[in-house]
This record gives sequence, structure tokens and C-alpha cells, in this order.
Amino acid sequence: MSKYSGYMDRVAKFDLTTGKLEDYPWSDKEKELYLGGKMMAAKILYDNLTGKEEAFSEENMIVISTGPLTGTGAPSSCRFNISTISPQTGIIASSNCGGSFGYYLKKAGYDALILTGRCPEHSWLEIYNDSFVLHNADNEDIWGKRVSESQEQIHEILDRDYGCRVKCGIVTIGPAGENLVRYSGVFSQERAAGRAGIGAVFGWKNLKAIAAAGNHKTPIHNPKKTMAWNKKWTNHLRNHPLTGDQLPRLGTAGLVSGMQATKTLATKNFNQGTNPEFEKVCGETLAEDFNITNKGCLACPIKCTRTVNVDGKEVKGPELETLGLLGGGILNSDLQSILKWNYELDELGMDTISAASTLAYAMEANEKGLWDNGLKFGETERISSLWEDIAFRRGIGDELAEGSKRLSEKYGGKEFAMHSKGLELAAYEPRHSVGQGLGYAVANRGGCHLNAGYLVFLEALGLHIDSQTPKAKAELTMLMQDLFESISACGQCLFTGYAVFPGLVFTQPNHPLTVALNKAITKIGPILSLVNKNPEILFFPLSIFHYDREIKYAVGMKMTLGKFIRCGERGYTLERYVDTLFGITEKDDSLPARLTNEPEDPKDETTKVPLDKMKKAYYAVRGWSKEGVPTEATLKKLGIKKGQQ
Amino acid sequence: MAYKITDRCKGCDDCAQICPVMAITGEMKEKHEIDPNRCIECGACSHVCEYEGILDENGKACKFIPKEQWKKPVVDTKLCDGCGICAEECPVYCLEIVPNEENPLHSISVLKDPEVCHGCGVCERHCPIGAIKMK
Repeated sequence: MSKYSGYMDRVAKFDLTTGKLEDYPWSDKEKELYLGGKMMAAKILYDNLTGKEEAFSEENMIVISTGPLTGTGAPSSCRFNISTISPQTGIIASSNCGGSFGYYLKKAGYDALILTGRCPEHSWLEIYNDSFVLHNADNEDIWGKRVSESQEQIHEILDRDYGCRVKCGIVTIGPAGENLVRYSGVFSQERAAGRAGIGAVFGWKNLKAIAAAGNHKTPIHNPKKTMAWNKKWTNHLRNHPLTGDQLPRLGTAGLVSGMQATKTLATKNFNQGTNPEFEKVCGETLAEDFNITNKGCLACPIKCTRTVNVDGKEVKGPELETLGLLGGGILNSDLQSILKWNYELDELGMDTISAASTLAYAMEANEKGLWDNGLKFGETERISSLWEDIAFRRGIGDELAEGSKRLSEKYGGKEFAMHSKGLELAAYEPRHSVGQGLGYAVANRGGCHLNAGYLVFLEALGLHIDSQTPKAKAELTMLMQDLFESISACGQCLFTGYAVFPGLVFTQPNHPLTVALNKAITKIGPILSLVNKNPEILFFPLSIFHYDREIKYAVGMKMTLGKFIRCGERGYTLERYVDTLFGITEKDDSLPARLTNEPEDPKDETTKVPLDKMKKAYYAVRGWSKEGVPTEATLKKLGIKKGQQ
Repeated sequence: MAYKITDRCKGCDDCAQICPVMAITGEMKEKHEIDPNRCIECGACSHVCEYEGILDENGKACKFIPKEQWKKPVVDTKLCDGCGICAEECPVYCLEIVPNEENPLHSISVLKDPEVCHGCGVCERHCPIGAIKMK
């Protein structure tokens, strides 16, 4: 029995081929080292590597994992993670989701679910406590269904079978996942584990959906102190200008205006960092003209989700990345069309970022005469029907379903196929945020803004440190990546991390303290490096850092800020090490040539990403070799056993 | 630990009728059983047992409470942040998350259907910040 609360102390391993269920060992030591979520998943994938894993192979596992705070009531803590080998990148895909599935997986009694093998027929999996039942998804008319229909149908089946309304969490794929669209996602309620093509892995495994339910309770170490701390933390989030005002008021869409102001709004397939028509497709216009109300994930006080009307239905509105890439990204200024496409993409089960970026690549390839596909920037008539063509792989949709990397290998134009390692970049133009550029290039799952460390938040959207200097960017990238890694592993939303920064720096950009902070950060690289190397020096509690005491009170695990950062470093390094076992080297930590060779502002040479310089510094601070491989000393320091493949 | 029915049970079936997760089965006038795999420990069954034949999760005998005395959740609107856990946990779906009238950017939980509420207190027990009191 575990000495820690917060965990259900049980991991289920289920073979989809044979239906065999077994317990998978997950020790207290591993809990201390990897917490949960994506770090736990990376450890499980690593420990089970056979060397034969490909995205579409029986050897490829899917690991769905929660964090120790999932289900404890800690603010913004219902999240869960899905990791597997990605059909887009061929390396670890980790995708995080805010739907209710993680909450209910714990109610079923599990911290994580490991899926191996492949269902012999189209199936969906029902989990109720110890009972795992594979249903035929064709006979029950679920295969082929869109995301919301699939979930409704499964609810109906469970309600019928159990004789009452069954509270459960569901993950499902849409038609895109069934048809192996390389950027299809997995959905829980209206939220998505959208990135890196996890939906296609479900589809290849003939697994349409999973429903989890049960009557377990997540144990809490010290309920009284946990409640008091939840109250304090929630109050902090509510009173913080980002989590208590901007995000509930404008959602992530509220960042569009800030991106325009700082030239970080990727426009026309990253040809430029500003969109002259941004006001038509920004968060303020969305709030004024279309937003019905703001909603949020379970257990979250922030409520950043937009609710909009599409064809008479109240549905989830677009996030910033969708707004940017389906707006200025393809020179579209019709916000109503973006709301509609966003809903359509969710229903078909696709990642809006990769779908939009692949479309932008296709438009530019057509413009440059490389691929005669009829798609043009600013012409949106064809697009409404195109999403379904992609999801069902019809006509040109079959090609677009492969994503921008593979298309550029076929048609040319690699310099403007906006991906890294096969995963399309988010809507942040990195030539005015070079640290973000570094992050995109080195991120473990490919061109993801969050796995990158999200330095655009420090360089342009929250703080305003020097966005063009490479100084201290390697150190900051490592620190932010490691922090995000641990926050995510706890089961919490990364937005809670915004509130670690004092509100003053956002509300008073000209305050002497804010100005001083912005100036100082890029000059303290050596200090940041010291913290990265020895995070344990941060052993004292800070009033704005809440994670350590939440873990202490809810889980009963000793935690400090320094230990938290070290855990993140371990998880991040392990993912990287697994990636290198799949062949990733320094050469793959790359960006499209447009971003590294062509200044965004032709008159200003600093407006391109000095990637090589930053990369070298980054490998050095991470303790990786010049080839980008974690050294033996680094692995040993972190307690990672080398060479399990 | 699930709730348990003792030998005091007369098989009136009131507990099975109110159980929101169909965890209780039994023939009329015969002792009923609670399926521990289904019981969510809401305690609704124990309120309606006139024979006080139900033990709670700690093995303590529960008292019959006439319907007019069932407590209802009262939400502290200053404290509640509308995180939604109470509504998710409520076995009879009687709570709803709505915009807080005092600050529409934030949300609160409200008892939308007092008649449906069993007064079980699941919402109070799950509220992570103690914003719900059964009164």
C-alpha cells in the first residue's frame, strides 16, 4: 500500500488484442521521481520499449495518466495526459486534456491506464471499477460517429445497461482518427488531447472510445489543510489579473491583440508577424460580438472557455491558436467562419493547429507553383467542405491528412512548411520572440508552444524582456519547460503557472519594478543557470508558489520549489532520451528556414531566430551532448537508467 | 466502504426507490442488499429507512429523517468559484453552475431543483473550498 494519498495506487494494463487485464507496478519511489501525468507516461513507455515501436504498430502503447492532484479538488486539477508514439513525428507524443475523463479514471480506481495490442474489431472500452468490457463499436453504431454523437451514444448505452444515469468520463475519437488522419485528436467532452495525432493511434488500434466510471474516492492526506490551501490558492487565482480577469473575460483569444502589438501574430503562413485585419479576428471582437458566456473545465475556477453560437447550438469557441492560424494565418477575416470551422474540426476529431497550418502550407505551395491544388490565401469558399474531405480522406483531403512535413517532402517548399519534427507550430511567430523559436525547435513532441517552454509569454505577452537577444534564452527555456513539466504531471492546468508571476508586472508595464524586471532577466543567465543546475537551493516556500504545499497537504509528499523543478527536469530529460532512442539528433531540433534565414522585418537582421547559437547554449545548460543527447552524467544525476532499448 | 443493510430491514423498498445509482436490490418484504460495487455512499437510502436498518460507511446506524427535515445545500456565493465539482458529484443533478450575478466573469453553484435534492450532502463533502453547507 502506498504511503502517499492523492494516488489511487493502481495502474491498469489492458491488452486490446486479448482482453487481458493486469496490474502494472508503480512504486512510491517512482511517484516521488515522476509525480504522474506525462512524466509517469514517459517512464512507462521507456520501461517497456522493445525497439519495434512505430505509431501504427501493435507494440505501440497508449498511456493515459492522471496526476496526484487530479480529483483532489485542487484548483484547475482535472487534467489528464495521453502519451504514445506519434504518427506525425515518430517520437513521443504527449497530449494533455481538460475534459472529465481523468477525474473519472480515478473514480474507477486507477492512476493510469496502459493500452497494448490492437482490438480485433472496431471497439469501445467500458471501464467500471474492476470490470473492463470491450464493446463492438459497429454493432452499437458508434464507429463512424462524430465526437459529440459518439459521447452521447455511449452515455445512452451505459444509462440503459445500468438502469440509471451513469456519471462517467469518456474519451473518443472522431472520423478523422478512424481514418488515420495524422493530426487527429482524442476528445473528452468538448476538450481535446489534440496534438501529435493520438487520435490516429486510437483509430489504428480500432479503439473508438473509452468510458470510465466507478465509486472510488481519491484519498486526501490532510483534508483540513488541503481545503484551507485550496481556498487560499483559488483566491489568489481569482484576484490575479491574468487568471482572474483576462482569461475569464477574453479566453486565450485575448492574446491576439498582444501578439499583434509585439509582431508575434503569425500571418499568411508565417510570412509576417502582424495581421492588418487582426481586429476582425481578435479576442475582443469575439467577446463583444459572439461570446455567450465563459465556461471552464471541471474543478477550474479560471473559466477561460468561450461559448459561441454555431447553427443554433451553443458550442465551445476557438482558442487563440485556432483564431490566429485560421484567421490571419490564411488571410481570413471572417470570424463567424472560424467559429464554424473550429466546431467542425472538433466534431470530426482533428487538431485545429495542424489542420490550419497544413492548409496554409498548401496555399503557399499553390501560390509558388509547387502544387496545383486550387487553394488560395484569402479564398475561403472551399474550406467548409474541405475539413470533412480531410477527415474521410477524400480527394485532396487525403493528401492534406498527411500534414505539412510529408507534403513538403513530396511537393517541396520545406522552408515554409511550418513544423518542427513533423508537428506544426502554433500561432506564435518566433522571429519577434526568439526564445520561443528555440523552444519550438527543441521541444520533445515537436513544434509545440507549451512543450517549448512558452517563452513568448516572457518575451511578448506577459513580461516584455528583450525578445531578440539570445542571451539567457537557453536557461529560461529550460527553467520554464521543467516547471511546466511538473505542473502538468500534477494534473493541473498550465494557466495556474501564469499566476506565479506577480500581477503588477501585467497591470503596470511602466512601473519601475516591471521595467527593472524586464531589463534584468536577460542579464541573469548565470544565476538562472545556477538554479537550473542546483534547483534544490530553492527549498524555502514562496507565497506565490502554491504547488509545493498543495502536494504536501493533499498527497503527503515532501515538496519544495526546487524539488518540483528537478522532477520536471527528470521528466523532460527522459522524454528527450526516449526521442533520441528513436533517432532524434541535433539536426532534428530545427525550424523551417523561413524563421532562421529570413528576417521578419527585412530592415532588421535581428528579426530571425538565431537558432544554432541558442541551441548550443541550451544543450550545455541541459547537460546534453553537442549532438543533443543527454549525457551519461546527466542521466545518472537524474536517476535515469541508460540503455533500456 | 459502502453502506450496508441490516436485519432490521422489512423489505419496504423505499431505499431502492431513492437510490440514484440503482445499487439496492431486493424483493418486497424481504431483506434488501446494497451492491458495494455500485454504492456511492451518498446516504440517500439511510434518510428514508423508517426501520433505521442501514449502516453508513463507518458502520454507524443511520437515523430516519422525515422528508420535510432534509437539509439543502446553501452556497456561500462569496466563496464559491463555480469549479463544478459539486454539480458533477450530485447524484440527482440538482445543482447547476451559472454566472455569478455580482461578477459575471466568475461562476457559482446554485440549487436549481430543491424538490429533487435528497439532502444527501455529497456536494458539501466534495466542495474543495468548503463553500457549501447543508442547512
